Amino acid sequence: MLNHERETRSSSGSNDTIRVVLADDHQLFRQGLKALLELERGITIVGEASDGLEVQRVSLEQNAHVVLMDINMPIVDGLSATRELLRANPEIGVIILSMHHEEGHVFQALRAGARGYLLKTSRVSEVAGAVRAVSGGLSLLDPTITNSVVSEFKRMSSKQTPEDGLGQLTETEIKILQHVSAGMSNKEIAQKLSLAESTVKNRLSVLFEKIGVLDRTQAAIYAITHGIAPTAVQSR
Amino acid sequence: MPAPHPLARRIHDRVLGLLGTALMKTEMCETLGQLGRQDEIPATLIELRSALEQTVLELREIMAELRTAETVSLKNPAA
Repeated sequence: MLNHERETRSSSGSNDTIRVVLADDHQLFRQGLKALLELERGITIVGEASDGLEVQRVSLEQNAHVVLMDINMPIVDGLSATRELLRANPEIGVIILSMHHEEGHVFQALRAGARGYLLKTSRVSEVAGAVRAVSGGLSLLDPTITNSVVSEFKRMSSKQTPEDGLGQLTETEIKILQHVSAGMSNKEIAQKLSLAESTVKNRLSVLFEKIGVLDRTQAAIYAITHGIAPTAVQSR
Repeated sequence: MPAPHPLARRIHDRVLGLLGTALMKTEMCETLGQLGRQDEIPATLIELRSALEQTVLELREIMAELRTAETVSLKNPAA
């Protein structure tokens, strides 16, 4: 089966086109990726950028759903660009596409708010799969780096006393955590659970404290590593 | 994170970047073949060859720098 014959967009079943921006300072790499991704049904490349400043402007102007972001870029690096871009529009799904496989880069990317991390050695079908997953609200890591991430969070989990964490969560908090790990915003969670957005925000603060994490990315990974996320980290 | 060694940075930014591009071009040839667009393959192969030639040049330069560093180190063991 060719890539372009694969199934379309997100878990929601919508047939909307996924608007993607490519950010990489290697022009030949960008050209190749663009040509191959455009063969994928349901994905359209709406912009390209060769530095971390340009990617923020292009992504916002083009109303991108997903950004494929390199780390090493001139002017502003991909991690800072991710942070700034998500500050301007937290709904955009950022996937880091890098040659860096070191876990330090992966953790920095997740802390910056990236929802995916793939290596540039991935096949384009895998990149397209990641674009669809992230567009559908899921998170995805390259299988070759998943182990180190899971180990790190197991280490973090082992620091907690038995009475901490998961066992202390109420049913609503578990539902909120599942929705966070699916990439939903506070507003979407509030609508889903018929709660006020401010209530979701407050409950999240309490939840973070109970499971010992600092932000929603760490919470999402906690949910994945504790088996309560709706869809776990991709495995092949 | 500590700053990477200049050579490590160069290998990442240039050599691995070029190899990433080369991998992309091989996949492009494969896909063009599957789509019956064989006439577009030669141009893609030229781009692939160009990426690999640039990789070789980069690696030669890095090796030359390493040799120079080694010579300096042998002449000045205390350095």
